[in-house]
Amino acid sequence: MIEIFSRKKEGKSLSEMFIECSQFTKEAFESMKNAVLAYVNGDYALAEQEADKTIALEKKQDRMKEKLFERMFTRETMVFSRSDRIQIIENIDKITDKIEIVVRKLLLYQVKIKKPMQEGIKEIAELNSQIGEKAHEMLISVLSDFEKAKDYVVQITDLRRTVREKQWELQKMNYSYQEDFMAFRYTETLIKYLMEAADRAEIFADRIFVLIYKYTL
Amino acid sequence: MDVIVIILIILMLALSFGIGANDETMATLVGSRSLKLKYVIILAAILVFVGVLVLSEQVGKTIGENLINLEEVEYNVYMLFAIIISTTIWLVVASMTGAPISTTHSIVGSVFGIAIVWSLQPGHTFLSSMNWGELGKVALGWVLSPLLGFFGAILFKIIIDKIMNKIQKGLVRLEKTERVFSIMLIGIVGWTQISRGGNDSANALGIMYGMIEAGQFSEQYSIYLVISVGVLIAIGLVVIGRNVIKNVGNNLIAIKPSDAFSIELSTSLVLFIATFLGFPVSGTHVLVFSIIGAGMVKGERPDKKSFRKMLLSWIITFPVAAALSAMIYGASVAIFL
Repeated sequence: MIEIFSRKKEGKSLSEMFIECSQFTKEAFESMKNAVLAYVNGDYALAEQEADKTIALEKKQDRMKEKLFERMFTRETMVFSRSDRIQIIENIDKITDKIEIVVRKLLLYQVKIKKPMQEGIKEIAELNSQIGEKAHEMLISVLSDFEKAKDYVVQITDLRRTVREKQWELQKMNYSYQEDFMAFRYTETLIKYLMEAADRAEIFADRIFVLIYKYTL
Repeated sequence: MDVIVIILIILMLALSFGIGANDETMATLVGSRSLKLKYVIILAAILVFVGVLVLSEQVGKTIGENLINLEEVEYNVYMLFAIIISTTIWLVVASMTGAPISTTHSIVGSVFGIAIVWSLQPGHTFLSSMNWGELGKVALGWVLSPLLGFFGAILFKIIIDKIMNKIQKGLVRLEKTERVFSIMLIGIVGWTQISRGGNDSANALGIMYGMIEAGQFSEQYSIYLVISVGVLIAIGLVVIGRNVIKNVGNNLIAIKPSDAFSIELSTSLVLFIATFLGFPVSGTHVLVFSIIGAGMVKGERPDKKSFRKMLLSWIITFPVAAALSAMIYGASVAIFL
């Protein structure tokens, strides 16, 4: 009977593994921010170092995801359904994938971003990092306190909205300032990818919101 | 030993198999993922066997006898054969399709079948063939079972939801609470399975005790037959019963252990009160409508296809059992009487 109900194997519970998984995303957001800041400041060596760190985090998360799937499809019986758990892991993974695309982009080409745009890009990177922290807190809260988790959902949505506004401002500036086509195109997609990372985090937050209502009576 | 006694023993064992095959008691354990199907089947087989050994009534009860007007109709062994065979066939066939049907309804249908054949004989009338008072109680049970199960589950689900709302904060706490409900559920369903083993086996074992009362079978060997009935019910449950358990547990609504607990609480309470008041309600119908009631509170409608299939099987139980028994009894009358 103990074996049938056992939820804790290999020293970690499923919830601990979930938290670890989202911790990787939070760290990836942070290292992505550092990479973007270094890149915008022209410190390409540091940007590369931080980008490598982000890519390593993404790989670690993939391994964790595999372990989580393995755990979910063994003998455990669950109230919090498998399909919902899978969706959470997939959502977290997709955020980190988007983050990886941003840092891969940084490694592709070096361009001097015009001064007036630098601050805006830094701001978006900073907002993204905040979204990463909130997403991590949201996941912890959904496991322990639905009400708190709802607050984090709202905060993430607000932050993402700010990122979107900033993005449009920056795109407009990009059309005015970047005369060189390569620089224009590179900056445009970099901003777009930064935006997409925030978008994915919002999709994750929306999914959590639905889950809360599904499991709240 | 008479040939007739040997045939009756064989039919009794076949009926036991059919009863086990259509036992859906543990369905909510599977539906709520409290235990895996294979463990549920093993547990159900063991508990039903225990129930047969410990709780089976030691009274001579001839299947379907109470529904026939014995002042007019002379209940004979061919009628008994027809009722047992048709009930067994229909129980096994329905179980193979996963449809949970009521044993009582099959028996009533079978009795109707033989009553029709009997009334076709000169000087007999259909109206005088049945015990209409008893039949009225059964018919009332058909209406009451679903209603009581439905409203009972709604009531219990609302109460349990209120308690859960106070306890739960996040998914971890929710999981822990549901695990407690899982354990309580195993307890309550386990007990129901034992008592159902005792009750359901009465239809089969009543034949044996009837033979003992008539002096056709020695009481000292009765324990072997009781064990055999227990084993056959368990085998029926293991071989075919999984279809019914899976169908009722998985195909109507999504069930959490706390939902299952309110469903089982409603089912057992309704059955207890009905038994106390002397109403022959169907455990199957109470359970299925309890599931639907709990689903209503959750805002979930039952899966249309599965529910339609169940309703259809309930509706056709009566005419199919009647037709089968009429054919069997009619053939017996033509050949032997």
